[in-house]
Amino acid sequence: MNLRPTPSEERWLTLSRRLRRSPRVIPFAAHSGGWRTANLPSRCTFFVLGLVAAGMIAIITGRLWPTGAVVVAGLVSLAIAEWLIVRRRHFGSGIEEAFEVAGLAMLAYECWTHVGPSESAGASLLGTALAIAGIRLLNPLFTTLAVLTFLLALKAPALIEGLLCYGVGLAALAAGAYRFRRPSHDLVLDSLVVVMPLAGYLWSASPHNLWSPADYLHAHLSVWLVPLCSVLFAAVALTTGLRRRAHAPLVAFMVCVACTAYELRKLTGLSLETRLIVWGCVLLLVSMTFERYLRAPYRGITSRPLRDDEDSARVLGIAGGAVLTPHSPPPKGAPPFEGGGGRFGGGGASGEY
Amino acid sequence: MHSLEEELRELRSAGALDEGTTARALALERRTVFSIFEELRAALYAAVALVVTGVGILVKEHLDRIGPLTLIFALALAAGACYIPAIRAHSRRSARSPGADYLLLLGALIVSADLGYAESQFHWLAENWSRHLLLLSALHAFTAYALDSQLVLSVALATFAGWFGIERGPGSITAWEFATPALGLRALLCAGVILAWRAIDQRTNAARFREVFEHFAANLAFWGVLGWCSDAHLRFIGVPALLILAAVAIRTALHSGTESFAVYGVGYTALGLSLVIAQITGLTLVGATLVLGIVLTAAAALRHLHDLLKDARP
Repeated sequence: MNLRPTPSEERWLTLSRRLRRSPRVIPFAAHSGGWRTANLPSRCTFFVLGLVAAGMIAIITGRLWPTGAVVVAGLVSLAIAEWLIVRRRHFGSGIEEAFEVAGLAMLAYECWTHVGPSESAGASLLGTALAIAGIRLLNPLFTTLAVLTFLLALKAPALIEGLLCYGVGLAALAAGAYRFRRPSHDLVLDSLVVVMPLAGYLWSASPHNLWSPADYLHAHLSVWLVPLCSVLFAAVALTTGLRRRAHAPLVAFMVCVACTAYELRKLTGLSLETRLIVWGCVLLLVSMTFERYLRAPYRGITSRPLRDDEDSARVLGIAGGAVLTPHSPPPKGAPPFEGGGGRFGGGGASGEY
Repeated sequence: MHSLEEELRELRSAGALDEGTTARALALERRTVFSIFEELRAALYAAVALVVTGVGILVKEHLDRIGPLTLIFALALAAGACYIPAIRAHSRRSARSPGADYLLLLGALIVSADLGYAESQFHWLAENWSRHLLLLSALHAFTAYALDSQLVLSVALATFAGWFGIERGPGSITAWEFATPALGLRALLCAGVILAWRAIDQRTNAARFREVFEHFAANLAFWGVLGWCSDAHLRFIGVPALLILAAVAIRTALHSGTESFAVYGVGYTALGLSLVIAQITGLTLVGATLVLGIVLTAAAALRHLHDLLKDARP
């Protein structure tokens, strides 16, 4: 009885996904141990369906056994998750992940009601549930959320929490140099590398309110620590990403640059719209320059795609243009659109200038 | 950092991969070639989003200071400049770079903001003001076909949906807000027109934009039917319509091998049926059991479809 794929089976599953082949056909079937995975759109849908199902189980048990319903629902959800993993051989399919995390969260909640209404205890219990789910399922999302929840449970000053986040991010960045057998270990570290600097910024920036930034021209040196940490992490991530040819540190670099730009937004004294347009144009020009000069690889780094877009990436591309389409305004004095009238061709999007 | 070199070599020695594919895959695993295409694409998209948001605020805040004519002219000029790289690439018959693609998208979005602003200032179309959206949609569609751009076509279709009165935003994302029967009908009509457009595209344009049309039509139609499902008086039409749409979406998925349509077919149907059950029963013991049954059936159906589509791959 295998509780999860062996490292070798996991590697073959990853390879079949990378080569866009089915893991159920020869020669992949001979190596992947019959484990079943799902690609991103299906995995997300399965996850949502699993969460809804776990919620319904909680409602049903609540109606049948009002006392101890959460424990029963949690245990039933966990049993379903383990059955899906052990018997049906689901790995990274979404549905078993939803049942597992929902079941553990319900048990953690039940424990919390017995421990007492302490926020710190609640965060520790939730963190433990997420950590167990993350380690059991080798899931990067749950593992990262567990780290964040444990940091929340520390109840340390915001700047310390922020620095701890950066520390975890740096540790993950350093650990990324190690050659793991399991691809999922890399994914866990990648997730920490991308999320922790963002969490670090949000935590350390919160004392002086994210919405009204500090006056950096007249600020104390310690206040500069907030953007400085982001800049330092960005520099380390960029160097590491380019040296190792890894995507996660490069994404972390982009996240840190965005955080720094946001934090120092008042430094130039420009209005919001000018900053958006100017920095947008700068980003556009820099991206286009890199795209142009890296068409021919420079030390192996290229701006050309080396794999075809996945189905989900194509859908995101289509949705991207639609999401940015501006709302069109009704002219001054024009009657507003009335829902329910059913006027063909009428209505229109709203918005105001 | 893991590397799957040994598995790739094993595949090659088993004859499951040709030499070229193996060499490319090995180069990627060894990281002797490394693409930053996705990072650049994300940066380009973020840049376009920043500029468009900035232009939106500029138009809103500085109308009195700049003056409408100056603003309209300046925006038109900026939009025109954004179109130039794409037009140049097209006239040279060379492939357009992703940078030029996103610049073209930026141009189209600025044109949308500009024309919307001009209409709000000068009332050229008086009480038929919403027709400027139809004009914009036609202009973007022309650009998309002339310059072969999926991104601009998606702007054209979003603007076209706007003309039908289908508003994008948080209010329209939740089925409960979206759920007026009239809005549902408009969404379905819009999806129908887009499908008719797709049929014409298939005959005249070798179905280059088939995917864009189908994703838009599917999502609009499902949202429209969800609107009906959540209305007590229209449920009896909404539920059969939802099941028919699900069958069409799943058939499309199996026919084209595109898993997203299986996700639409199963996901939207589970959502719609659960919504109806929750509204009728108020999630009593029977209601919750029925919803659980629907969700588990949906998961099993999606798993089966996923396996079918995966097995159909080479």
